[in-house]
Amino acid sequence: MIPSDPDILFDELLAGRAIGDMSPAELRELAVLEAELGFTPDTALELLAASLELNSLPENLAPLPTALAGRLYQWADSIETPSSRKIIQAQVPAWKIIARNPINGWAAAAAILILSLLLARKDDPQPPESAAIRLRTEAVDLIERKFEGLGNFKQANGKVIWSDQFQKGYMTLSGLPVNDPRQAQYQLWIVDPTRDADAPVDGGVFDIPADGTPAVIPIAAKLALSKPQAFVITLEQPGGVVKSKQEQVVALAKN
Amino acid sequence: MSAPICLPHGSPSRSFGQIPRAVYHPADFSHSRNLNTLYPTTSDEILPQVAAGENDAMKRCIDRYGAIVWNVVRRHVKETADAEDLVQEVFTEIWKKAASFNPNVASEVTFIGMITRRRSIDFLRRQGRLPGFESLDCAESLPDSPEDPSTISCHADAVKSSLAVLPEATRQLFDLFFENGFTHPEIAEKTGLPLGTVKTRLRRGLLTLRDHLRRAGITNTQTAS
Repeated sequence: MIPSDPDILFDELLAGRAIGDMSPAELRELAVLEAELGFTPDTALELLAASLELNSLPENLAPLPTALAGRLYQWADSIETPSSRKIIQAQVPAWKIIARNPINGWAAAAAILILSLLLARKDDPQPPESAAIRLRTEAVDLIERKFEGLGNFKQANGKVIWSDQFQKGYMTLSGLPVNDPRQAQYQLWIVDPTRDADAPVDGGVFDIPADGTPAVIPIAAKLALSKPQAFVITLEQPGGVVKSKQEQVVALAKN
Repeated sequence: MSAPICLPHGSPSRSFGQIPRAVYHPADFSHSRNLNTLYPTTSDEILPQVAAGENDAMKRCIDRYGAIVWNVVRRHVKETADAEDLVQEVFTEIWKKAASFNPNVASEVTFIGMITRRRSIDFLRRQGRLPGFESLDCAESLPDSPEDPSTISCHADAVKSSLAVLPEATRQLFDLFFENGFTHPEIAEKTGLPLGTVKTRLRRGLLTLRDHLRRAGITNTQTAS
């Protein structure tokens, strides 16, 4: 039975949020109560749920996988510079300035655009693992798709993330056979709906190293992209090709 | 017993499995069963150091809470690759939210547990993997503010007594959900209750606990004063 009293309904929705069992309709209802009726969120229920869950953990916790711990450490190294937090913090007020003051908005927007382009275009000194995590942190328009292996590459899988804002993306791939760059190289193709569907954008060539670890590969798109629909990996001649004959399509990630 | 939770000695990733002593705060009940005896009160909070951008603070945070975050995430997300991505998201969230941690509201571990649960629930929602419930067209994030002046803060004993105020049937549902990690449909199947009843009883049970703890907090304050 749905409570008719808005206070009781709000409480029940908050409890649902803390437990994690809200339907989309309930989420919308909660958003309305918060935004239009000015109800203040109460995190006590979330803290309570967290405490109950923490209390149920076994005494002997499973450790972080070593590889994951290493990636987190790399990421921590990349963010623990005096400038990194300042950059993150500086971005928020800039957007607020746009919202508050439309006259200054254009100047701020232009500055942010320039900053975004600079960030997007400059060579990234970070290892791709850290850079991928950072992109996840900073991009507000991140899209994420799963790769599925095709044909003889069924065992291949992975993910791709992409941000139009930063014009950056990364693939995390596993199960792809190690290639000899002298014989063949993998090449990424990106289907951009704003461009000719028969001419996907070249996303760069890459190799799969022999150490067997999942590879994080930066996307090197040759053209600016807008809301890419699909990512296709092919196996091509060394150095890649301008237009793929798609003789060996390795994996596909699409909407 | 004073030994920290840790991996077997000599494990290559031992430091990530260890939780140094004094992680848990006395004013919450995340450790009501057995952990509070292991980790006494301390002012050695790491999130303020993270917020201040101190050297290696985030690494120490990963050392201290990595195993907790990993274990909570794994309760929700079974696929290893997804769980690993999610742990990275959780730590970036912790980094971003470190400045909003308030030790008067919750202990660090509860704060981090809350962020971890939030991100896990968000992830499942994004993936349309919340069983028994509709998936969303787009991800809706939970609100950012983890602080609330009206939030509860209570001692381990208070929690135990609070759980006791719940009806036996609701306690059983709490046990299945929080302790054993069963989903709502699984609980419905085990108990024979309709799915909607499971959902309602869990929600109202949580509200009852919160209200009881708040009343107990007020009573304690009045007694102390």
